[in-house]
This record gives sequence, C-alpha cells and structure tokens, in this order.
Amino acid sequence: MTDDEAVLRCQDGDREAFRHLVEQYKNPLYGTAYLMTGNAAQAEEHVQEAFLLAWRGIKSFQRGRPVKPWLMRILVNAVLAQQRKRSLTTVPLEETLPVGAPSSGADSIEASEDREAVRQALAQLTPEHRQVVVLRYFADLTVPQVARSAGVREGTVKSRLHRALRQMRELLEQSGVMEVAGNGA
Amino acid sequence: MARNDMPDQEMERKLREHFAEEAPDLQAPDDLWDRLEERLGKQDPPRFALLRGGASAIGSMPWIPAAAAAVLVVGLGVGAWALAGGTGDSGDDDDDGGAVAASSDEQVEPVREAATQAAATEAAAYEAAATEAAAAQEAAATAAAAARAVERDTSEEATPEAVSTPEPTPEPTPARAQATQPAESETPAPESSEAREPADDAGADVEQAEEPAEPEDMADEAMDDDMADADMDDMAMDDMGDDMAAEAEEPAEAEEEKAGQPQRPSDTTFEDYERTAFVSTDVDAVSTFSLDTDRTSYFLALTWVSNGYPVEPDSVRAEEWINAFDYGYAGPDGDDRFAIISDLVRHPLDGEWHLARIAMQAPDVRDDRPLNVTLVLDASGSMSWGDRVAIAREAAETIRQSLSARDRIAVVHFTTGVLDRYTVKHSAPDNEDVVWSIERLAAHDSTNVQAGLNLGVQLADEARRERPDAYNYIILMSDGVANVDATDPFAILEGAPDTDSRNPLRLITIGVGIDNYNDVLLEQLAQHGNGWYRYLDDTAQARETFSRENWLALSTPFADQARAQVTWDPAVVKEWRIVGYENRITPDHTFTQNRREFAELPAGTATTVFYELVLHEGVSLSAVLGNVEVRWVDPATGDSVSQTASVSGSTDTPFDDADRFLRLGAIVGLAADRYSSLSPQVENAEVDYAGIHAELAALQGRFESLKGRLGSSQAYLDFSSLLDELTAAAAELAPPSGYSQ
Repeated sequence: MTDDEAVLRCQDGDREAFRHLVEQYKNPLYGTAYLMTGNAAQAEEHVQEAFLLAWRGIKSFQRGRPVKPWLMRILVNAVLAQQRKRSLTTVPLEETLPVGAPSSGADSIEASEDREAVRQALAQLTPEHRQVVVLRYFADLTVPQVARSAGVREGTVKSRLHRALRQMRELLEQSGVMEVAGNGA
Repeated sequence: MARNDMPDQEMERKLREHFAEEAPDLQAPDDLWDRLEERLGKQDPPRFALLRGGASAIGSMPWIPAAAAAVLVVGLGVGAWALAGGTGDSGDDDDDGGAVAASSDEQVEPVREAATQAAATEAAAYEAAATEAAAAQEAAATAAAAARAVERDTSEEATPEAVSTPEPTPEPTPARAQATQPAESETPAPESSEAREPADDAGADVEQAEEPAEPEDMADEAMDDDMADADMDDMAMDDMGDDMAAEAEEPAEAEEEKAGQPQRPSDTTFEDYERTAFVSTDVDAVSTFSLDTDRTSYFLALTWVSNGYPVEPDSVRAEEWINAFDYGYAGPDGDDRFAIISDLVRHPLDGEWHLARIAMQAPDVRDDRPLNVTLVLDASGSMSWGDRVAIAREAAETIRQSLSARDRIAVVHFTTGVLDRYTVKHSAPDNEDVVWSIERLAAHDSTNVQAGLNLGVQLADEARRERPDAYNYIILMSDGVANVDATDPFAILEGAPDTDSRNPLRLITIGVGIDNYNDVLLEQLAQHGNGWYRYLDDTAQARETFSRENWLALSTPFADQARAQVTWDPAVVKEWRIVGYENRITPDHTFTQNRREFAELPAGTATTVFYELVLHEGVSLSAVLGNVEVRWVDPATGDSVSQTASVSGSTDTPFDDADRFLRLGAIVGLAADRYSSLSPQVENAEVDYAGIHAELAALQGRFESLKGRLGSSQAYLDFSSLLDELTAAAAELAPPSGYSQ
C-alpha cells in the first residue's frame, strides 16, 4: 500500500490503513523524539501524541503530499511544547540532554568509541542546534522542511546547522575522532 | 572561506553515518500501535469542513459564550490612545527617570472624541449551521466570484441611478438572532461574497444561508481548483500540511458546538505568524526588526468584542496592541532625530526574568511640502454590508477637507474593474468633480483591487512627475476582499510597481468591516507599499482620524524604511525574546539595506518594543544590556540616517514600581502575545491553554493595580474589558487536565 492509498483509506476511516502509516513512520518519529529529548518514555509519548493528532487531521490532508514531513512537524511541535514547559522550571538543561541510545554491542571498540564521541558532541549542542541536526541528518528532511518543522526561517536553519557542525567538528577533533581539517574542508 | 560558506561536508557525512548506525537502536516499541489504538478510541477522523487558505487556524477554538455585553469606546488620536493629556505636562511621582511626560490622572482622556457603542447584544449563541456557511471560506468566495466575473461582461457598468441608490446590507448578525427574526425580515445572512450582490440576493432567506451542503460543495470545488493550480514544492507542501492539520480541528469543534456556541465572523482572513522563541545570546545576540506604528490589530479586537465576537487569536499582533497607546514619551533632545528611551524592570509573570522596554519617539515636526493624494475606493458588493460605504465615504471626504489648496487629490472607484465615470485626476481639493465622485461611492459587483491600484499608481505617478516636490499618498479604502485578478498582496504590488524610489508612492490602507474582511491583504499592502494601515469602525472615527490636525501629522513622513537593531551584551543578557513583531523581524544582514518593507513613520509617532530577558546571575544593579541602533531614510533628503543609544536600566526594579505607562504597555503587550499563542501553529496539542490562561489571569491582577492611576481613562476601561474577554476565552479553552496527561 502506498502512502497515498493509505491516506485515502484513512480518510474513509480505515484503521488498518492508519496502522500502515504508523508502522511506516514510527521509527523515524521515535528516533527524532528520542534524540531531541533523551528520554525513551517521553519519546514514545510524543510519538503517540503526534499520531493521534495526525489521525484527527487526516481527512484534511491533501493526498499526494509527502506524509513524513507532515508527521515530523506535528511531532516537533509536541516536543517543543513540552520543552518550553520544562524550560520554565528549574530543571538544569543538562538533565534533558540525550545520553545516547543503548548500544547494540555489536560494534568494534573503536567504532563504539567513535559513536560515543559523536553522541557526546551531539549532547553538547544547544537544544536548538541539536534539533536542526537531528531533523536534517537523522530524519533526513530538506532545509525548508526543517525550517517548517522547527518553526524558524530557512536562514536560521542554515546558520544553526553551520554553527552546530562547526561545534561538533571542534569537539570531535578534540577527542581525536576527526582529524583537524585543513582549508577547504 | 570555504568553511565559512559551505556546509562541512565531512561532518555531514559523519553525522549521516552515525545516525544510520544509531537507527537500529532508535526503534519505536513494537507494541506502539496497540497502545495507540486504545487511545484512538472508536472515533473516526473528524469530518472535513474547512478549506485551506484564508483562515487556517480560524475555528480551532471552541468559542467563548459571548455573554459579555461589552460597551467599548473606540477612538484614535493620531491613531493611538492617549493616556497623557499632553506632552508638556510634568511627570508625577509614578514616573521613572523622566522618561515619560505624564499628565495628572484627572487629565487622562482619549485625544479624540469617543464613539460609544452599546454592544449589549443578545449574542449568546450561534447556530452550528451558520458555522457551515462560514466554512465556505475565502477560496470559495474567490473562486465563485471570479467565475461569475468571467461570465459577466466586465464592461458592464451600473447606471448612475443604480449606483446612487445603494441598499446597504446589514453586517451579519449572530445566527440565533437571525433565526428569531420574523420570516419577512429577509435579512441577508452571511454568505460567500458573490451571493451578496443586491440584485441577486435581495430575497435570500435564513434557511438558504444556513444550508450547509452548498457552501461545502463550493468549498471543495474551490479547493480542488486551488490545488490543481498550486506549485507544490516542499514549502508549499509543508504549508499545506500545517493548514490541513490546523483546519482539522475545526470540524471537531463544530461537531461539539452544535448549539449554544457563538461563531466568528465569516470570510475573515488573518495570518498566524510564527511566534518567536527565547534566543541564547551565545547563538544570536542581535535582534533586527522593522519599526511599526500600525495599530489596526488592537482596534479590530475592540470592534469584534463590541460586536459580541470573541477575538480571533490570529488577528492579534502584539506590537500593534502595544503601539495603539500613546505613552506620552518626551520628544528628542538636541540633535537626536528620535528620542530613544529604554527601561528595565522585573518581569510581571516570572520573577527570574526581566522585561526591557525600548521606545523610539519621532519628533512632531511639520513639513510644508504639498501632497498628491490618490483615493482608491472599493465599490464592490461586499462594501454594501453595514456602514462600510458610509465610513469610506466619510473618510475620503474628511481627507479631502483636510487638504490645503496647495494639495491635489484624485479619486478612483473600483469593482470588477475601474469605474471610469467616477475617475477624477489630480485636482484641487475643492474641485466639484472630486466632491461629486466621493459622494457617488456606492457598492456593487466584485472586487478587483489590482485594477483600482493600477490606475491609482498610474495617476499618482503622473502627479509625481508634474509636482516632484510633493509627497505622494495612495489611500486604499476597502474590506480587503480582492476576488478578481490578483488577490495576493505581493502580486498586486508587483502589478502596480512604483518605479521611483527617490520620492516613493506611499500606500495607506484603510480597512472597514468585520465579516468578509481581509486583514492580511491590507496589512501587507501597506507594509510593502511604503505606508501604514488603519482600521475604521464608524463614521465618527473616520472623521476624527483624518481631521485636519491629525492628517497634518499623519501626512508628514518623518522616517522612511525605519528599522532597529538591538545588540545584547552576552555577558549580561543570557537569553532574549522579542514580544510580538513576528512579521516585522528581518534578517540581521538586511539592517544596512534600505528596503521598502521597512516602516514609514509619520511625524510624532512612537514605536515601543518589549523584550523578555533572562540575565546572567550576578549582573550589577545598574546594567548596560546592549545597544539599539535605528536606521532610516530621511524623506526630505533621501539620506540614510543612523542613531544609536545604549539599552540600560536597573536590574532590581520591581514591576509594580515601574512607571504606570510602562506597566500598561507591558501588560498590553504580554496579554496580546500570550493570547495570540492560543492559535495553534500546527496542532492544538502544542498550545498550553492552562498556562496561557494562568498568565492572562496574572496580567489581569497586575492591570487591576493600575486602576488607581489610570482607571479614569477610557483607554484603561477599554483594555480592561478586552483583557477580561481574552482571559475568559483562555479559561474556556483551558482543559481540566494538562496537555501532557
């Protein structure tokens, strides 16, 4: 079943078709939510919330449009709403940083160390920077889609990506995972 | 160079590889569907009832019972509420640092004659069926009207007799009131605009208007056409997703409403600009925005409430609410072109935050350059509603009378096209043809703003060539519902380009009406057309706004393309957030460029901006937070001008100790800002209704404490009523349990 067919059937109230969409996109949504929140329970809650809202809005979704960015925007808004609430409390920012997913244990030590270093570098980004990095390189959205999902301008996305990548490079260079780049890298 | 301008491709590759490796460990639980299905319950997806476009978020709120019979007095000074009696009064004990010259409380009065509206409507409830009629949004009206316009020979013109005897159609009343009217009343009910043509619909009855099937069918057709024509790039797709998601809330609410809930005016168009967030100065310490002295959003809200409608969150632009009040700032000293005033107080809603106010007051200068004024008057069918024609005619006539013998004025009427017989080229203000043309303004046919503006620009350009020493104003009076030819503000402006930037044409837009009103078109036309935007609620307001005294100030441009850039000191300010100005924020790098979309400021006007700030711990009591630079083009010389001032204040000033005008402005701005966020930008889920209600209620308490100082002013009473309405609306929406539960 294509997404388009699934959407059409969903609009007729077909639960199975909606289940198809859920199965299709639950992982990228969950991964994004997890990378943004660092908390598995919260990530699942956000994903469920996003799918509930998607079901509610499916009848007005225009068939033929990509489903994933639409779902991603709903998800990001749910996560941001929660983060805004949290930012009003005194919870230190560090506590909300993702600490990395459980290791599958199948990597070599070197690869494992590399992954851990990248995780740590990601964790040191500001939430705004981490968000655009995750949406761009994990969720694989285009820059305009990231802008819409994050609710910021394209230029802001680009500058955040630029700064985030620069910061991550510096951190990974410091940890020896990446070689110090020369001009024109 | 390359690393500065290009994405770090190696780092990008590294990240993609990393995430690909992580992905297997970032799997959603296998039984997610099972748990989700339980939460889905037995509900089918809500029925689709709204169109995209026009009013994406409208209807996402279950509307508050309009029990409040608000009695509001609406007035405009030089467009703004005056809280102080005059600029020469000495400050009182409540002021700080002499930043505000205030009168005594006894002198607090609106500048202009107030027009009292007893809006003690029965407006308690609106039938769900009328909601369905309202669901045929602008797309349906636009498509249907355009289709009819094609069928109709556009050369057909109404006879003078027909034009001179218009039958005003009442502004729509709440559906319940209509339903209780005797059948013979034949009051036209809210419908799509093409159905409002008097000749066709004189006998339309309530039942027809409330028949849901037809508007929905029309809506679907219009949407399909719209979709077929659209260029579906990524951004458009995302917009669609947003619109659809937001609109999806409507039918659910409509289902729940059925009876007993009021509805909004139909066919209104507002834009939900994305709300700003706190920004860390580590990331970006620079805030750039266009100055703004529009205040339409505030007066629209007053008008809506006074007519028994809840305020549409999308219509709320906090900066226009803030700038709707005259805070009585002192004029500039010495060589300063603006008086730039800054203050810092503790935040009224969060003890850990601060609130900075920055105000830029233009001097009240006069310029003896003559004026070329071109009136572009909407004579379309929708203008027959209520007093729209009368208000526009009154405003046009008042402007004519306010002109001096050295000025020139032209008149253009437009409907489906330009009504040539009423076109009067630039003439002396007392020219008989001018007077006659204004008198003949009436309503009929469709709306071709493009045609009207095209001719307006053409005439204004001719006048500019003949009189290069004059300022050039094009004044568009309309309800903004363009439905023939170009209907998008940018397309309209592109179709009527101003080719001389040295002495620009200044496009002032004047909005009239409630239903069938396009705020976005009028606001954007003014913003990008070198002008400003006002809203008129009645003929008295029209007379006062354009009285000779006010007109002299309004028609003297002090600063063109005015914008400001605030640079925060990262050592002092940790995070910042601008209150409002969402559609005035501009990229930092554009600050040094002169752009048409920046603000045109008449003499004597002020722009006030508030920032919510998180300061670093241990900041000294008397802190310099950063600086503000204002740039603009001098209309008289064409020179680019810049002025800089530091932003400073005491970090320890409790909110309640601040000067009362600062407190009022802060409460107005924050209330508008919070209320506007009731409108979900995508999904209802992100809206913290309970939190917003709590903040509005807290602001109510703060506002109450101002009563002793400002309570005798009409401006205070008006905003007090409005704040009550906003808080009640948020209370209605606040769920018993929070979003996260």
